[in-house]
Amino acid sequence: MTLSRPLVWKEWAESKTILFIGAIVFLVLPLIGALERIIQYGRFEIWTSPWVVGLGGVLAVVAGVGIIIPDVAHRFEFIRSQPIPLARWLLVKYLTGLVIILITLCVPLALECLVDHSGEFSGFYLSVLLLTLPFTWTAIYSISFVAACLIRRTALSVIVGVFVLLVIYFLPPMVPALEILSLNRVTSDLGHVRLNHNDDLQPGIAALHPSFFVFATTFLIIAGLALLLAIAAIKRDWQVESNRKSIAWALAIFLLAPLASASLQLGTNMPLLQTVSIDDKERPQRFVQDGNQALLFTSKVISAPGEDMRSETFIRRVTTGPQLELGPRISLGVRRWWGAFAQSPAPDVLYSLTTELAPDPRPEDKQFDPPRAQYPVLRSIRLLESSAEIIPLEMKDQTSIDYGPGEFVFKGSTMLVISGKHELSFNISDPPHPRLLSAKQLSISVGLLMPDDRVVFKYPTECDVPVDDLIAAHLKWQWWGLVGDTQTLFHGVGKFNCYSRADAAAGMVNFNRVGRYAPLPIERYFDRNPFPQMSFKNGLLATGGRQVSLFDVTDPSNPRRIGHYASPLEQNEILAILPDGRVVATNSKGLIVLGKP
Amino acid sequence: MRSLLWKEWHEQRWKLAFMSVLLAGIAFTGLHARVIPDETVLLSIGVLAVILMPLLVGAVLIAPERDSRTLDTLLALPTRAVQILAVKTVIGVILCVVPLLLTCFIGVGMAGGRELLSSEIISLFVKCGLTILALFFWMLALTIRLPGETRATLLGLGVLIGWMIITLGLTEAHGADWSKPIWLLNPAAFIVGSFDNGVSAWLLPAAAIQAAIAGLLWFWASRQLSEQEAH
Repeated sequence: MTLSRPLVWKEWAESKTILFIGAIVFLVLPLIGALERIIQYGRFEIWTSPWVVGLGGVLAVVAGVGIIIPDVAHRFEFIRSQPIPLARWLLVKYLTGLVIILITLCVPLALECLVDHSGEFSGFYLSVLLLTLPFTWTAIYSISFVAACLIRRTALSVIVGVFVLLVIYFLPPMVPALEILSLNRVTSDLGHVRLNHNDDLQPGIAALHPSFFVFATTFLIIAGLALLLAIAAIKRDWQVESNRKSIAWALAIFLLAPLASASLQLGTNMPLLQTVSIDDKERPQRFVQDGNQALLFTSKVISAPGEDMRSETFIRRVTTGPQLELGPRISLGVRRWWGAFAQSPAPDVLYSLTTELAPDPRPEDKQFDPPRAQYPVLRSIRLLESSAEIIPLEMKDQTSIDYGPGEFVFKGSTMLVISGKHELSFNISDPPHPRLLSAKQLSISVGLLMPDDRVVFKYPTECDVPVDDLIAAHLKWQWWGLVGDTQTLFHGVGKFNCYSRADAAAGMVNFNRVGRYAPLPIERYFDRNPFPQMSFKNGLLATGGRQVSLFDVTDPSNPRRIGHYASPLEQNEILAILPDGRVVATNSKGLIVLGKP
Repeated sequence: MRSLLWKEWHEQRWKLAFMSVLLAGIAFTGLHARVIPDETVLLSIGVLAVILMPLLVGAVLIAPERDSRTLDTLLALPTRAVQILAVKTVIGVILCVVPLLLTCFIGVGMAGGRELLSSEIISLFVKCGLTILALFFWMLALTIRLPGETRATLLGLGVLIGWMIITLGLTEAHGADWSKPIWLLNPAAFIVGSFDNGVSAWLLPAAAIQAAIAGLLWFWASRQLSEQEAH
């Protein structure tokens, strides 16, 4: 102890600069931001986590190298000649640096945790970071420390340290064998702990979770091994020869590692099977398929610039064999078709429910324009060889402001259409000429209950439509989706939650959150503007945008991204997933068909 | 000559492997991921190659021999200084061209006809290759008398930055008549120059002038080396 005290004093005197720099970067700069928010919004909010998470690893590398390099590179012979056990000297050095790093990085994070009163996910996420990141920093610091002991050249040791940092950050999420070291995995698992305890994360509970235990222990073992290697390297004077060549190779790896990580994480693994060109000005809108045939709906803007927008809609029969083949186009006229299309049980007869604005006697008021009442129009479309016969059924006495895109349910010669909060029943014994049997207003609500993230779907028990169809009709067209059947629900795009149907009482169905897909930072960075359009079938969920992503949600507690097609120059909108798993999406030329990953 | 070639190859081959792995690796990962347009990936590789290759190859062909005091031994061999320089130049050109060829091959194989036509990808790499070779001769000549690798690298960087500043100035001139002859002297003319009047109207004269400049620079460098041999 008497020998260690002067050693600690020496190390502290030499290394306190790191603490001061860390305090400025991780505490003073966020405090300046907090002062700005006090002036602007009148409340104290400090955001240290972006700084700590983003630069914490870099500080660990700089400290790991910086604390040892001056001694081993310039005055190692002098230190060896002193009557101090080398192992003790190195241990004191290592521990001083580690304590400095942990204080520098944990205190700002803890401060944000204390100030954050939201109690929502952000607070939980911060406590998870505070529990897990110190182990990651310890491992990065230890490896940088041993690299400096072995290499004894500042630049090369820093490069090796940064490389290790990149590997620890990016490799575990993409290599299944290393998933135990993935921060994302631990966050997700601890999220379940929080859900089960219906409260903020308790450190004791988290530490007992196998995921966290394995994560922390593995990083501690890595750090311990690095320390042992460092002691051996110093005691036996091991040194790795480094020269121009090794620096160049290290730089190449340094550059290629993150690129390869990005490539493997986001790389295209869904082959482009086919591109189907359509008229330049036509845009694919809908793809309707049943067992027998598929139909493609497109629209083309025909109004001149400056005029009110008018577009013509076309329909094409599609053969979905090994190659997608489009039949000749048939015009559906200049009309806005925005609802669902459904194929009737009769061949070549389609139905579409849209709405028209009801006449409004009030003068137009641009300042205050309340929602205008609308009435539904059911159109039956009879496809002929090269034309279409459209028969409208206007229901002008059924005005309302809350019609929505229709969902069609066929029951023998009766067709039920759920549109917004309305149930319309039709007799379709003569398919091209449906007759309205009844119209009901339904009291349906869907909502997310906090804080336990439960989705509650309420519906009237006297409804004729089965509850599964009701759920499908209401959730399909909102920012909610159903996967496969009504047992699994998901919400959000990019970062989404999965809910499983938990229990049902008369007039109410509960969905409990069971899983979450949180994209990696690198995914968030590269997946620009993910398009909130989804398609789902057989446990598959697809999102579009400047990429097409396919998620496997058959296990809703563990949603996984299994397919990706990146097309940086195009906006892709998913139209359909064919029964054989092929994905039909749009691009600027028309359609693309993507194969299974 | 064969011994000289063997020596150079033995000393420099790691650079060939390094540049090939680096450029082809970036091309492969970038074109595989498709998170940015193919053109941006390939252009970035081209710019990286233009910056890195002349510095890594051209600026340090002779200087390390002085650093390790092997140049005098080399000049004392029964071989003319011009031959030594010729061998070093041949190896240097191979080091510059082969990684680009490999990367171009990967680019065409993975992305030809996808967003860019194969001919566009080849054209991009040809232009980058010509720029690299032009800069290679500038750096080879200007660093021939320098005593050490570090100074040679710094001078190489200076040459690169100098031409970058000139290129920026010429770009700001927006095709003014006075700037056109200077463009033809600029090694970056192949990748930044105006091709509005067609390839034959711009690329061929630029290539001819750059070839002449490279020849003159090489001749001057060989004279410098021969003078040292005479001393």
